[in-house]
This record gives sequence, C-alpha cells and structure tokens, in this order.
Amino acid sequence: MKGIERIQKVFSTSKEIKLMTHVVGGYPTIPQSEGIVHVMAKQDVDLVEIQLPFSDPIADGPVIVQANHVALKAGVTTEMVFSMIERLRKDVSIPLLIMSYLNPIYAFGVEAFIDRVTAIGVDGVIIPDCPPEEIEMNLPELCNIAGLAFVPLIAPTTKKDRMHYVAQRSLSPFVYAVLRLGVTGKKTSLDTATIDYLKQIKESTQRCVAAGFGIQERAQIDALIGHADCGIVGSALLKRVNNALEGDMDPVEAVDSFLKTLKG
Amino acid sequence: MSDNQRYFGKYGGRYIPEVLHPAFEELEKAYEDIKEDRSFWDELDELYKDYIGRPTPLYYAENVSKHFGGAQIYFKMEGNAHTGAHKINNAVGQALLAKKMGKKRIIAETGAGQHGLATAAAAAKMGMECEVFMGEVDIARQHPNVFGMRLFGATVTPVTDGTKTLTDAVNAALKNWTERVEDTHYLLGSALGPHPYPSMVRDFQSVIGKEIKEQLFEKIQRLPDSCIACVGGGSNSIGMFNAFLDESVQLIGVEAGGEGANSKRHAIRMSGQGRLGIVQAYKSFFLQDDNGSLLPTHSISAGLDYAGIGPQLAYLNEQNRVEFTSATDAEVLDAVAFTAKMEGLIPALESSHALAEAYKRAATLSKDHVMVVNISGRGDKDMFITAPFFDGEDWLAFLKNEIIRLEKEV
Repeated sequence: MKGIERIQKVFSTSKEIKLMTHVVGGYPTIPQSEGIVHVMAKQDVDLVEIQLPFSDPIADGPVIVQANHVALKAGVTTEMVFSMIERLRKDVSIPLLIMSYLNPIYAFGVEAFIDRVTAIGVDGVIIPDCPPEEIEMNLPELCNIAGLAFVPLIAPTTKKDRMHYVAQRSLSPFVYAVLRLGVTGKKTSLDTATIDYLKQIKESTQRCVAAGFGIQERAQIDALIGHADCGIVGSALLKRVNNALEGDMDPVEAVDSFLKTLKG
Repeated sequence: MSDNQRYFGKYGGRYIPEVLHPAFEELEKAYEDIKEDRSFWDELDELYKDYIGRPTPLYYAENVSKHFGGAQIYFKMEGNAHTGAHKINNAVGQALLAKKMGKKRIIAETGAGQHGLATAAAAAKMGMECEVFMGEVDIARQHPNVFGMRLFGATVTPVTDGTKTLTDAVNAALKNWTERVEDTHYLLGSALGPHPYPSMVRDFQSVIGKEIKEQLFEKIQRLPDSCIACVGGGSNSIGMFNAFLDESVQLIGVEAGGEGANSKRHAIRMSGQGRLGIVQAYKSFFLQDDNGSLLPTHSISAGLDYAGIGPQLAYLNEQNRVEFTSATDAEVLDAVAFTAKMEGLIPALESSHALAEAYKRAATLSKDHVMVVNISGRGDKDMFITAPFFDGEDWLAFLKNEIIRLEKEV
C-alpha cells in the first residue's frame, strides 16, 4: 500500500485526531533529521512532511526559514533528502510527504520529480506556492496519475465558494488548513470563527482536514477534536531542536521527549 | 496603457500562497479600475509634475558625443526626479492607488534603499503609515538611505533571515502583508513579482519612455535609433522601452557584470547563466543552483544586485526585441568618472552600467545615429562607494576627522 491509499488508511482509523509533523530535510544534519523521522514514527505520529530546503520559502516563518538556510549552507541537496527518504522507507510505514516550493521541483524537472518521489515511497506533496489559477502547472493531475496526494492548501482568507475550487483538481484524501493569518510559528487558540472555518472547509471540500500553523501543545490538538481530523506541528518541533543544539543536547532526543508530551 | 497580462509568453504568473489570494484579487481589480479612470491619471500627472519634478530633462550630451565622434548621445535625466531616481514614479503611483483603495499603511522591501526612500517619501506625502523591510547587511552598508527613510517618518525593519539582503527583504514584506492585508498595501519596487506588479510597475514607469519620445520629437523631430538602460529587476528599463516596443528602435539592457561573467560574482541573468524558474511568486530567469535555490549575486551597485529579472524583459529577450549585455564594476567606475568630467554630472552606479555600454558603442556608430541612455539615478547616494575608490586617502582622512569631531559633539 502506498501514496493516496496509504494516506486514506491513516484517515480511516478510529483515532480521534491524527498528528502530522514537519521536518526540514537535512536539518540540523541528514543523519539527525533521519533520526527525527524515525522517532516520529515510533511516537505514533501519523504522517510526516519533509521539506526540501530552499533559499526563498515565502510562506514560512523565521524558525523554518532559518533551518532551510542552515541546511543549504551545509550543502544539503534535493537528492540527499530523497536518499534519506529512500532509507527511511525501509522501516517507516507511516505516510511520508514532501513539502516543497515550486522551484526545487521545477529545477529537478516536474515529471522526473514525480517519478523519483513515487519510486522512493513518498505518498504526497505539499506545495505552498502552487495556486489553482496557475493551470498550466499540472502538478495536481500528474500527482493523481502517479497515485500521489497533491495536498490542497486553504487559508482563513479563502472564501467559502473558493474552497471547492482549490481542492477540486486533486485526489488527496485531506486538505491542509492554515489556522490563522500570517505565517507558521505563533500560538493559536480555537475560537468560534476558526471552528466555523474548519466546518466550512469540510463541507465545501468533502475531505479530511489537517489543521496547522501554530500548534505547540497537546491542549491545542485536543481542541481540534470534532473540528478537524489531524493537527499539524511544525515550528514548535524545530524550536525544540534548536534549543537542544544551543544546549549541546541531542536534537533527536529532544524531539522524542517533546512528542511524548503531544501524545493523547 | 498596455494590456493587463498575467503572463508575457511563458513568463510571469502569480505563484502566491493561498492566504494572499484575496489581497491580489483586490489589487488587480483596483489596478484595472484606475487604468480606465481619467481622474486618477490626471491626479497622478499633477503629482508627477509638481512633486516629482517631471518631465525630467532629455539632455544632449554634446561633449561625450563629440569625444567619441560617432552617435549623438542623449541622457534622460531620471536622476533629477525627487529623491534622486526613477523609483519615485512608481512609489507615488502605487501610493495614490493604495489611498484610493482605502489603505492606511504601506510596506515595501528595499535593497540599496532607493526604493525604500522613494516609498517613505510618497507615504509621507500621502499621509500614510510606512514600514520598510531591509536586510540587516544592507542596513549596515546603506546607512544614509536608512536615515532618510526615518526622517520621512518610516519604520525601517531589519531582516535577519537568509542572506540578509534584498531577496530576504522581499520575503519579509510578503509575509508581513499576509498578516495585515486589510489595511496595508505592499508597494513593490520593481517590474517583477506576482501579477499585477510587473504590468502595474511598468505602467507607472512608462512615463520615462513617453517623455523621451515627445522630447526627442520636439528637439529633432524623430525617434531614437537606440535606447540603453541598466537592468536590475527592470523597472527603469521597461519604463524606458515600453513606448518603443512597436517602433523600429534598438533596445539594449545592461546587467551587472560585477567582477566578470566568469567570476561567479555578478548578476548576469540573461546571457546564458540564469535559468527559468519560479521564485518569489513569479516565473522568469533566475541565477540559481542545481537544486533551484537562488545564488548569491554581486554588483558594485546595490540596485542591480538581484538574482531575478522582470518577466516582461525575459519575454522580450526571448523575442529578440531587447538585447542584453553587461558591464563590469571596473567599467562602471570608469563611466562615472568620465561622465562627471565630460558633462558635469554624476550618474548613479546603476545607470553607469548603461553609460559604459553606450561608450563602448558610440564610436562605432554613424553620426546620424541617435542614442538615448537612461540615467535612472544620480550618483550622490554612491559617495561612500565611489569616494574611497577615487579619493582614497583623503576620504579616509576626512572620515577619521569627522569621527573625532562627532565624538566630541555627540
């Protein structure tokens, strides 16, 4: 089982709220980010998104931007992240998704990219700068054909009648819902507007909803129960990694202990 | 006005994060509305005339023309515009548009600080709040402009991400916009970025070429044979070229050759070194590595020190309508010194790229060849770069004495 099917299976389990975590591929180093993904799988994370380091991540907050630049400076390449995923795939069975801006994909070659990620066992892609208006960019269709989930992104500024439009070209079992205006990395609370927003997404897209951008603690994940299917944790994890590095501790262990606190 | 296009051939587009979608829809609609709105352009014309000081002169550079004994060289004096460069044309245009849209706050990115300065001035003039994002490295090396922006009442926010230069300032401004779309307009400084910026900035800058056409006709009743402009992002060049796209006028863009085409320290995107990509929400040529990340660039002129190029220029190059070449830092410094001595004017380092190319060509052209060079900015702002080069020890002595004097006084 792989690709859309593997993701579908995760979302059809009875677990009340799933957890998706984020790593910047090759940050702080390739072996450490590989170790972090292993730990995530071990700590019952349901899906992992692995970001391809890029110089101009326009939708990311400062913590993730900095991690991108550190990885690039250390010489991490797209191919190195792919090899890491290939190794991980041997004993990690949860869905692994690639998070990338368009240009690293474009530089690799769009069709070559699809072939390669399918071959190494990637299950889906999350691309923050690929809006549905750019119809000549046929990534959603190519992903559909390859059995990969092209995960649509929805923001609080997305009007209700647009939600369906944003999702319609993709066969992804879930959509990625940005929970507040702005960029990743600040705290979020669930007010009635957010609850309505999540409800609208579900109604309009008829997909499972993964909600993210700002989750830092278990209480926030619990707050999503009944309103979303999955919580996404990104910057909070990176901050644990950075704190560990500053204190000369093992970042993999830091992620391990943080994930224990996120367990339901 | 030229047609509103999302794409120029395969270049352009709007590859934005979903959160910005309504902001761009709103901006595109506002831009469409003012295109047909006579009163907007009348109001802008008044500002161009009385605030910016337009039309800027078209000046026959008789001494340099005679020196080379070839082409007749005219200078379009954009450096005479308020705040010292063409950047103000776009800043005032977009600030007026933002005001019509009911926005209270303007944000901008800046590299060298020229666009930031123009934006801060325009915001002050319009009575709007202004925040300028500027890389920490640029803030450190362009302090006079930082001071100027602050004097205009703008907040200058240091960007500490990535290379801490222009490209990171663009990212920071885009992100800030995602947080405050309702009351804020993002005043982008060049004819690039996501649609409608490339078209909108071109339209606000196209006054340059329109004036050249009228002024030259008044002087010698004909079109130029060639137009030369420097190309960073491309706003002064497309502003100059736009009026001549359908005429038989040779159009030449000059990129920053830095320390030479083979040095890896330059910003030459168009002569085989840049590759097609999608970065900062538009598709064009970028200097990038094999993984699609932008490469660091270098130029003696901060205004040309950028890895991308406006999508319309990339298209015009593909159509063989605009020819691209480059000038090195050394050639540019020679052009500054030569122009200052011959004509009594100091061009900006950016504009001196265009002059360096003009001087390479002039002697080979016939005496009836009419060439116009866009002096997009004046060179006062470059004093901290040019003075150490031309006036080394005396400049250093002056600075040392200034420090001693200031330490006593402050």
